[in-house]
Amino acid sequence: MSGFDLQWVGNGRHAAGDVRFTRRETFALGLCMCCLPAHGSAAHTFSLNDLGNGLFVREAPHEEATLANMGAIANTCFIIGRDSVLVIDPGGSVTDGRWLLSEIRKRTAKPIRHVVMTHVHPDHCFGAEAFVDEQPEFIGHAALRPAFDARGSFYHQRLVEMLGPENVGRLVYPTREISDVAEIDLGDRLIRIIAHGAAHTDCDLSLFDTSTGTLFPADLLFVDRIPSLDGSLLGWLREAKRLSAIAPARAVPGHGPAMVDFEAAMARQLRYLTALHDGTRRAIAAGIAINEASRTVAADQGEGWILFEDYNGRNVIQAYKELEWE
Amino acid sequence: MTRTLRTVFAAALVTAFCGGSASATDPSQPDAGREKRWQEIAGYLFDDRDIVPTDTLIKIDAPKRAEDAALVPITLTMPEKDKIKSVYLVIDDNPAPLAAHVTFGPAADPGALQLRVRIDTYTNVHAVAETKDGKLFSTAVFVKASGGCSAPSGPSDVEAMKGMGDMRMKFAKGVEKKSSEATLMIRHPNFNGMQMNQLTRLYTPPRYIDKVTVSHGDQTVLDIVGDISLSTNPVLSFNFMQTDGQPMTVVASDTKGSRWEQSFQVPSAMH
Amino acid sequence: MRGETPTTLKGAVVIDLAGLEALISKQPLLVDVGLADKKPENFPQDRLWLPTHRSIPGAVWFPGGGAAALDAEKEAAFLRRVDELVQGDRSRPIVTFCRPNCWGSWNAGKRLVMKGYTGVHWFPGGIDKWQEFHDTVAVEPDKAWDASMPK
Repeated sequence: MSGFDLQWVGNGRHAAGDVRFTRRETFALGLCMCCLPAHGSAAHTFSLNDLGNGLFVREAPHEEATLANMGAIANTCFIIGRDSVLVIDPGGSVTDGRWLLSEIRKRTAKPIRHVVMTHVHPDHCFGAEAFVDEQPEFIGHAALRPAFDARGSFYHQRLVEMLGPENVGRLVYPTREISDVAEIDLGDRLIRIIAHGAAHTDCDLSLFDTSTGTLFPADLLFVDRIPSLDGSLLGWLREAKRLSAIAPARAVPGHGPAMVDFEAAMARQLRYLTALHDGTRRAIAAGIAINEASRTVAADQGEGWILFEDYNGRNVIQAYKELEWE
Repeated sequence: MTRTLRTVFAAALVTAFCGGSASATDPSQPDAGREKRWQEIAGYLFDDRDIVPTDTLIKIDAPKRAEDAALVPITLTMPEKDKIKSVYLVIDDNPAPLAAHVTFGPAADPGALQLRVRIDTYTNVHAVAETKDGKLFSTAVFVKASGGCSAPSGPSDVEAMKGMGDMRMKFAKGVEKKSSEATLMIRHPNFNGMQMNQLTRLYTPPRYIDKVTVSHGDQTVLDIVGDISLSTNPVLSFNFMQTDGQPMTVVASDTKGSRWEQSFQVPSAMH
Repeated sequence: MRGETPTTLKGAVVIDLAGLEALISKQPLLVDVGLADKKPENFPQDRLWLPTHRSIPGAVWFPGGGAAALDAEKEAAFLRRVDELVQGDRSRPIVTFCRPNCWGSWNAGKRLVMKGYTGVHWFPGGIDKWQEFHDTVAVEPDKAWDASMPK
């Protein structure tokens, strides 16, 4: 594959064409790659937010994976501890992952001992291959492996169509699986990892940096961008409570600003999820069919959410499928 | 069957579209191509029986653009229901185009039917009503959906298999006297053989619900023949003529020979 | 457009839908390497299995022509057929594409570039992006290519 020199020319035209990319198609299976039209930003032009205390976040735009952004559409973070480095979500493609690795290496030579993949979605996982030579533990939820089995090839092929095989890389399976709670020490700095019940997906991990009180809820918390439901709505409402019980000082969401006030952001997300839940349940009780429900439930909740029109109907279908078995 | 016809079409298509040089799109040609495709399918399904286009005997309500290609809700309505013997749902460009054939029994009210299907690409969806006098009437809509067939059945194959064969039935008051609406839900992955496992690089073997019979007391409501296009965890809504005190019984079987049977009490105070 | 890829003649140009629309007037050879639907094992005999393949109008369909590992004979058949279709004009614009469930279009583009074609374009959006704004037509496998495949 190497030696084949694809030229990424005409990025101006790319931007024009990307407006016409279909969002629902790439959203199949909750694939979080559908966002706003590309602005021509490239992975290597992203900057890192230095949040202090060795904590760095690459804040990703609300975009769809394109050649221009190389799949870098989810937030990705790393923590430099006294002894080692931990990566949370290694990027949306191997190209994105390599960029992240180079940014880490600009800042520290400490070993990267842990790479956490917070859930199955490709914008959070496909950068892992870039870290293989560092020989970290690749950490995932106990349900991540079967989820990769079921969906990996589908995601891989979809992503390859957008980025080309040399940029996508291969899936890296977790070498350490977490089914409950685990703690990792970066050198007098404990990171607590929680394996959640089905919520955003069925394999969500969150991390809590105990020394700074920073929560990394990954895609259990969407900010600005409409949440996408790919696991269990009831579960998400439940796991949200569990996160709130931690009472973190601040949070780094999977999508949105690098750092947010957790309580306010979660309250806003809960308003939407609750409306989705209540509306769907009412529709089922009233015998409203799934297609009509997808057009009407929570339709008035769009204010302030990016991509609401593209995702709400699909969220209703997901919720309906789940709640109709109650 | 109409094998000869099929060969002729194939040859025509090759000549028309594989000449080797690109040409500007003739906007009318694609429609002709879709019509040819439908004729070919109809030839296989109905031999040379006449199929009359209708906008009164059967109607399709489907999203113009699917929110989820692996779960596209389709509603069929048959306003002149007393004439209807059975309905066929055909997704033209799915590799196995016939999604379901539903035959109404004496306890049915064939006025409406809802089901959920997988759709693989932008395609026409045809519904064909077979009347009691043996005639066929069709209608079609165009649905934009993509990738529905290869989409996995659940978060994992193991998860998708959980509770296989569990059934639910919900009842609602029908629109007219004696007719009640029921929604049948069956837990089943409905693996269609087109979903690939990342680890083994093999397709998950097909295993799907292929026969469902719904009875009310000793009378048949529906006989359903399903195919790989029915969505995971099939859900079917239909109307039936209620006889108080009689249960609903569902017998479902899949292509691996599993068989499930369950009875449901119909709330008698519905009318 | 090739003027924009000065570093090497081995390059291919990646195009999006707008790029393809602009290119169509130059009559590119449209090479569709989408896979044919595979019949599920144990598919019941009495059920209708009738896959179809819709593509960009004018496209030549080489099912499986983009496989990562093509044996030498098949690769030769692919290149021979493309050469016939462009009538030996290696500078003619060629667009490789497929459906989302394959990445053969990249492989096919690579093969053509290695063979010395200078007008290779890769359209990763494929049929899905095309059909969003344009109609498609049913195509049959290219006969010469089909004949080279094992039966």
